[in-house]
Amino acid sequence: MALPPNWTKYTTDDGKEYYHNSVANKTQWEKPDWSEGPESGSFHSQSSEVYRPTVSDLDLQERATGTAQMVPLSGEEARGGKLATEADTVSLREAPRGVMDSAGGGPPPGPQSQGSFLGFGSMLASAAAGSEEGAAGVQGWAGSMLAYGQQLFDVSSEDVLKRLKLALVPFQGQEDAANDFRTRPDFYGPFWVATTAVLFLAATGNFARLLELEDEQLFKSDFSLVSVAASMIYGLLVAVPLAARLGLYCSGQSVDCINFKQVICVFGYSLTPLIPMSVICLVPMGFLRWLAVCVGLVTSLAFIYGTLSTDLAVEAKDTKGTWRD
Amino acid sequence: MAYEPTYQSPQFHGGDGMVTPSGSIESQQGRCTLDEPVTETIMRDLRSIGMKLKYVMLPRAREDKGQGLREWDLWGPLVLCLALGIMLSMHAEQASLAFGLVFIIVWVGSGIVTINALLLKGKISFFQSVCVLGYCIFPLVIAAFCSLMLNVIWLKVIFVTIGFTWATGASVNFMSELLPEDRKALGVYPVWLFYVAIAWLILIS
Repeated sequence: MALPPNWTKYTTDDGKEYYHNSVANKTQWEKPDWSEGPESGSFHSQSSEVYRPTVSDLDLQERATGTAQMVPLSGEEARGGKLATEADTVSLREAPRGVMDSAGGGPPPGPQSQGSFLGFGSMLASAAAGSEEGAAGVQGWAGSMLAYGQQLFDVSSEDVLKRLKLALVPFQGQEDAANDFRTRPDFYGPFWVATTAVLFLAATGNFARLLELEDEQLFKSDFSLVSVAASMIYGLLVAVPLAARLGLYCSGQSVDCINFKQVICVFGYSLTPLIPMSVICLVPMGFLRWLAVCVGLVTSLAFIYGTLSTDLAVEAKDTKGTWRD
Repeated sequence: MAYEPTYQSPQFHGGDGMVTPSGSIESQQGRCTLDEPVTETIMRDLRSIGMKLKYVMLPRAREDKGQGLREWDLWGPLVLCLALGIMLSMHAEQASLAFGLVFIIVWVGSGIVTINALLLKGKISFFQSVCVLGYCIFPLVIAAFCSLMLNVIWLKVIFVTIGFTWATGASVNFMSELLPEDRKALGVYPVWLFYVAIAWLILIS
């Protein structure tokens, strides 16, 4: 139903509806005519400059199409007189929900976003509501964090496959590979390689224990292997680049001279040989296991050396024990 | 019946317009949910969960890429996760660790898979994706239940494999639909890994 400006509709406890003009302070039972609207009081100029209502704009059941200046608070808010009041006190401000409009623009997300979330909450709320918008509908620092994260994950499938192959067989195309890592480090590889390694280690660890046991019925799986593997691998992933950074700091070089993301990226990919290594270690032959471990270690180190040596050698010439020829 | 405004003028409460009047609350669909009996409310949710579970089990879920799960709710995944946790920790030595592991892998796992898809610039709604991943665990829950009844290793492996392929079928279609072209494999691999982790959990207990 369409009301002239400054008029609000309320319902009494008995269910009867009445109308109140907040400017002229009039209350009446009948629905006000449109002629009674804009002439009331000194707010006339303000309201007429700010808002030219049309009947369809004030139809509070519709969602905004972005044409009206005011963003209606969607049909969900049409509870009794509250929305009618908000429709009254019009201004050019946007909907107070704040859930919208950073990079994407376009129609506001659906009426499922409730309350005023902040930060991550707003990202979840807008992401929950606006399924078609995805990351575009996120605002505030959550939005910028998401954008930063998207930069780090800016790789395609072929890139990742290429890097994985390089990590497994590291003696090919060293120069452009090193360049590739320097200009476009990504965090997708390190994170998912580490997670896969954790799962494989836990799985093969349990399976190896099963194979070694003579009686299959007695096998009780050891779930704590997962937590051991997880803490080991994620700890390695975080600690080794940190140690490198600390080493640089202690040696007096400025820590900004090394592209830290590149170090993390390369180290993450160098964990790839762990996966086939853990599968090979299933075989209960001691000699084969040691061989697999050594080959894996050599491969990882060669990969790290190949991709990082140029950078580290240049900047850390006078540091003992690093990439000096 | 007309009322004289002066005789029985309605009382206006408050002057700043931020008043919530009394009366019945109407939702956008025009349905008045305050007056219905409680059983009706609960049954509506249960029926919606049951409908979604049935939808996941049908092969139709693979073709239209999870459209039936558009109205997300998190009750279904919670129920499935609890059922799985109870089943897997019933006979395990480290029962609490097993239960906790199931819970963490299901919830944190689906959260991380969704965040990964978001970071790869996929157009995904967070909760809807968590909902889809959670509901698609249902075939694996059935497989776990069957393997609980039988104790033959090979039958267990077969059941879990069937459950795993079924589960990945529906959710992979859903996930790859919303990702950019050159990154579909990147977004789909974590989904596969997620179900592998759950299948492995079922297998080793």
